[in-house]
Amino acid sequence: MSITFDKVVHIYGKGTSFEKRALKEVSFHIRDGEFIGLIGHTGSGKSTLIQHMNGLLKCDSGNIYYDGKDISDREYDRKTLRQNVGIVFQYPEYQLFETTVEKDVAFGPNNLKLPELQVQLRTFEALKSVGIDDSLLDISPFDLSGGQKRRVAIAGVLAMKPRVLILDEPAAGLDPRGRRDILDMIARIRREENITVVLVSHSMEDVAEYVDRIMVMNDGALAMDGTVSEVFAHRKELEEIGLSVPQISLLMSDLEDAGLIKDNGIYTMEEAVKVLSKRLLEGKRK
Amino acid sequence: MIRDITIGQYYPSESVIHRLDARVKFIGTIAYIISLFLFDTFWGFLPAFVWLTVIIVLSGVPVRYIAKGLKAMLFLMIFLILFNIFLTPGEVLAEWWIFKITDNGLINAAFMVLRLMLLVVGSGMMTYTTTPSQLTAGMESLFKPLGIFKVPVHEVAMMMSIALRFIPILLEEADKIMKAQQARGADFESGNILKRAKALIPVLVPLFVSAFRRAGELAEAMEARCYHGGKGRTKLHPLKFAKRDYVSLILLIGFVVGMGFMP
Ligand SMILES: Nc1ncnc2c1ncn2[C@@H]1O[C@H](COP(=O)(O)OP(=O)(O)OP(=O)(O)O)[C@@H](O)[C@H]1O
Ligand SMILES: [Mg+2]
Repeated sequence: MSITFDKVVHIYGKGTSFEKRALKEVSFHIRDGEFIGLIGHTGSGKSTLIQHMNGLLKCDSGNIYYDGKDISDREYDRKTLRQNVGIVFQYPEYQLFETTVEKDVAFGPNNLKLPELQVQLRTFEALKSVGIDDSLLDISPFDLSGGQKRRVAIAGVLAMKPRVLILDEPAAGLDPRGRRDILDMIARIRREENITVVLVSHSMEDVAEYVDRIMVMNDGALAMDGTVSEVFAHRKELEEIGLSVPQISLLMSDLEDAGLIKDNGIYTMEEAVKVLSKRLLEGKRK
Repeated sequence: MIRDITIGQYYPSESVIHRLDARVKFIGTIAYIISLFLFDTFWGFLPAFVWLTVIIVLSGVPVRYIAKGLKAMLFLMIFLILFNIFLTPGEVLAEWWIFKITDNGLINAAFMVLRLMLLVVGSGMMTYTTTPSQLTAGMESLFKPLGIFKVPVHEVAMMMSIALRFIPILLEEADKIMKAQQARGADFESGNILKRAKALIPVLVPLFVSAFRRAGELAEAMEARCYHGGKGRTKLHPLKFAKRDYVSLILLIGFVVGMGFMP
């Protein structure tokens, strides 16, 4: 599904002294199947933005279209929208409530009123794709480890079979290994299911490695929007709004400034290793 | 949204009323409330009305904000009006079937509604201008003498301030959880009462779990800072009377004494 935001404005606490313009005329277009990284400083409006994507929040002005259809239209089916656009909120493990892992994951498909067999099938599939072992199906979700809980919570959204998957800081609070596992898992699911993914994150390193396109939020407005290398080329502007480019990218651009390498626009460790080792070998040969 | 409930909410400002000692405001509110019940003529409300107007103007709390708090009482007020209009005996002004509107009924209804409005707005002014922590500190200090009768004043005050502190947090949390379950297709808006109550389970369970988790964390954090009840505890910001507090107290006494001379 393609998503279009047209001058979307959101104001919290309208008409009170706590009024806060959390989104200021945000416009963009996301094509079907894109992998988007949404980054921004704390309080820049990322969570507010994604809640508009499945109609949990309504914009105060502007329009949102899915596949060209306006979701504020009366005819637009909200239920289908919620099914098609899955949101995994920050710390989703705090939303588990059922007595067993299986039941918790089945909550979504059950709400869709699917036949029993279908529900079971989706539950198993979802748990499998997040790497939760079958032996854990019948235990209480509250007895799982933090990382496992988060996987189960993500499975609960995957079981709805969304066409667009939005994840708000899915790796927050996990150790490096856990972060990598979760992010790898998301990248894999996207490949397999061929869905649109929006990954919200503070971490440039995480985003750089996985996504195709980065959108940068700053104080409620969309400050930058482009491919990873396009956005990271604006190092100064990023630093001004409290973000930084990945450290490896800093190193590479310093090396370029020193005239040691030519190729810039490198932001993952892998690429950097490739370029640097090539350069070292060249140096040896000389 | 759940967050929009304003009744009894603090309105941040730097006004004289805001800076007043919580104890003065508390005593003032009590005196004000008593004054509302001392008289049964409209003239009796005049001093309270003037008093309240002065405080609202000084406090800088917008009238719209106050009116929002009154809106929550609308249902009760309508109830009060209907009861008084139809159930007070007196000279009949209009009659329809078993309903009779009497002159005394109209007067009574107006009187009661006025009293209720003055009551709600007046006590609201205290919570709009006093932070919960000041409020409980003030109450703790005022009720300290009860400690002689083995009333755990400090502990009760502490419990109150923690409860007040956690209300907005839990409301926000409930909002978050509701959204997350809605994203999984939960429906809180349709169906009969039983169905709606059942739909709340996916919200209430995580909410309780998180409330217990927070309570545990808070207890640990308090213990880690050597909290051991009220005995020998000192305050970072001890309540202290300033000039403005003495002035207001004198004005308050004047108000109360003046009331005694009212016909
Ligand atoms: N329910 C709400 N009521 C009032 N203001 C809110 C509410 N939710 C968020 N805000 C405000 O809106 C702004 C944007 O918040 P938002 O949660 O979208 O930021 P964020 O980019 O997700 O931040 P973080 O990275 O910390 O999650 C903030 O200034 C915040 O204080
Ligand atoms: Mg957020």
